[in-house]
Amino acid sequence: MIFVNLGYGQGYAVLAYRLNRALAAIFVGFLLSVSGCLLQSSLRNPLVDHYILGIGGGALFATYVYILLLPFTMYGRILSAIIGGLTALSITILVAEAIGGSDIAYVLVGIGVSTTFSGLSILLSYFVVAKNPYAMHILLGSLVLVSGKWIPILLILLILDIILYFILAKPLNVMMLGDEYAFQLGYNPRFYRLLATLLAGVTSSIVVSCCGLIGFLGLVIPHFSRFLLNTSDNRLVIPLSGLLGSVFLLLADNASRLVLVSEVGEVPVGALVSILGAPFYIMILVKRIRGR
Amino acid sequence: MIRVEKLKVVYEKANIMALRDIMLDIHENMILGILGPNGAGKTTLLKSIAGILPYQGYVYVDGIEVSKAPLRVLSRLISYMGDVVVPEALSLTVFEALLTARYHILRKFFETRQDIEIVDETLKKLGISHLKNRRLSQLSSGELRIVIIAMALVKNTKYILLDEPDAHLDLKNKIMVSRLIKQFSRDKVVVFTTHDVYFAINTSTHIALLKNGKLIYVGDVKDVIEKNYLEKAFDVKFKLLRDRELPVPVPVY
Repeated sequence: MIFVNLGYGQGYAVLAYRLNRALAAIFVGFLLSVSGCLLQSSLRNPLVDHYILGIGGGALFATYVYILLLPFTMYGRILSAIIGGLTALSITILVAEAIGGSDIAYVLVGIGVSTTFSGLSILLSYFVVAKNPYAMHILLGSLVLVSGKWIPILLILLILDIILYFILAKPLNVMMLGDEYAFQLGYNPRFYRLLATLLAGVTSSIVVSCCGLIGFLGLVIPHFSRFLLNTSDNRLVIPLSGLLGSVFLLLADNASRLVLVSEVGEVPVGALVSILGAPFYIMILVKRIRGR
Repeated sequence: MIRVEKLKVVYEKANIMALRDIMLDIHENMILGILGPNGAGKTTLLKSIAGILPYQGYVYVDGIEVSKAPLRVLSRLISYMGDVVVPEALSLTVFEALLTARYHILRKFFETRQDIEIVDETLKKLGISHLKNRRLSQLSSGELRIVIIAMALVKNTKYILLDEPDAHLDLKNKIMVSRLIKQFSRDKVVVFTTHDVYFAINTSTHIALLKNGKLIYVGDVKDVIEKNYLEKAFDVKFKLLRDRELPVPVPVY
């Protein structure tokens, strides 16, 4: 229909834009959901994802600092996001371990770190927008401005996730039963935990530099996968989470593009995912605390 | 055979010497109970033998020095089972947990029919087939202890190290775990830790007594009881009841 109404050239542009956006939603949904799975299993904590642990906030802040201070290149933006995301993750892990390392400790510290970096990002956004008006979209988590240049990068990350899934799935299963149990089965838990958290941290940081903060997806989708499969076996949960995350974000992005539109523009998909995901998170948290 | 020579373990952060100059030989078909009061170093000794804790000295398992052996090699020789961590929302079922005990020899990404049959057979032998699809987080302490022993059996290594297999168990479950250990120790070497004297003397063939990181005595159960080493280990007086073949030490309150 678009081809007929707008003519071939403009129709191609619309198709290219829509295809980019759909592919971005599929890849980002996959990457964030798998990151959530990896973080939950490696840290033995069902209450975390890249957003809760502060990776998202750290990556966003670093991206904004980069945009403000340095000449803009895509790879510079990606590198700054990785540095910011992993720095925030390190702070969360160090402080949470210093106060006991329980799953609630990780949540409380992570939210503190996330809020700090998100607050700083909001502050910086007022200056960033003056330099790059479109930067506001990544503050709110949106696929509106994801260009075709991001697609190969996201695809590479997806392929990396798939390759490392075959290396990580079984060690993560045994690590869920304890580090000593994993050790005596021949798996070095420190190595696999580092690999899993690095993979999750790097992929989610790059996703944030691409399209901003889309929180709760990595938290909710793995739980939903475990519920559907009635298992916590990562060999099954990780691929299903990737698939469900892709489908969910694609549908959510379409909803924000087609339905939740005002005179100002679309509702960012990050906001929609948070509205749907946060109540579910509260439910898990209440169940967890009641179980103590 | 397990040979421990001049074993020393220091917890550097706390500046504590947890074990000093431990010399121990553990032979085939032995069930060795490592007995001692709290803080004696029982778990430290067991974890050192398993290669989980760094140590000074030497630990040989079938001639292989544990601290220098690759993890994969050790995993085929030794099963170490302590407490299993069970985060509720991430909990595997009993069946899935037992299958993980086969990972060290799985060649494929998923288990084979043979692995599944081994797990099913073990569940049947231990009388816990009814727990197969129950999540670990839903098990009672006694059931979890039996599942942990089942995991060691499914792993099927020659050396089985059990850290306090009787912990948090009532008397009935302690007796059940004791019978299981004796039942499945044929052709294996079983080493377990406990601070329960009765559990140790009723389960083991030999006892190693630890106190303040030192080995006070290693010998067969009767010797340990008859020669009053329990008093030295626990700083408690024991009376021996001699109305049966093996005297029963009763602590004097």
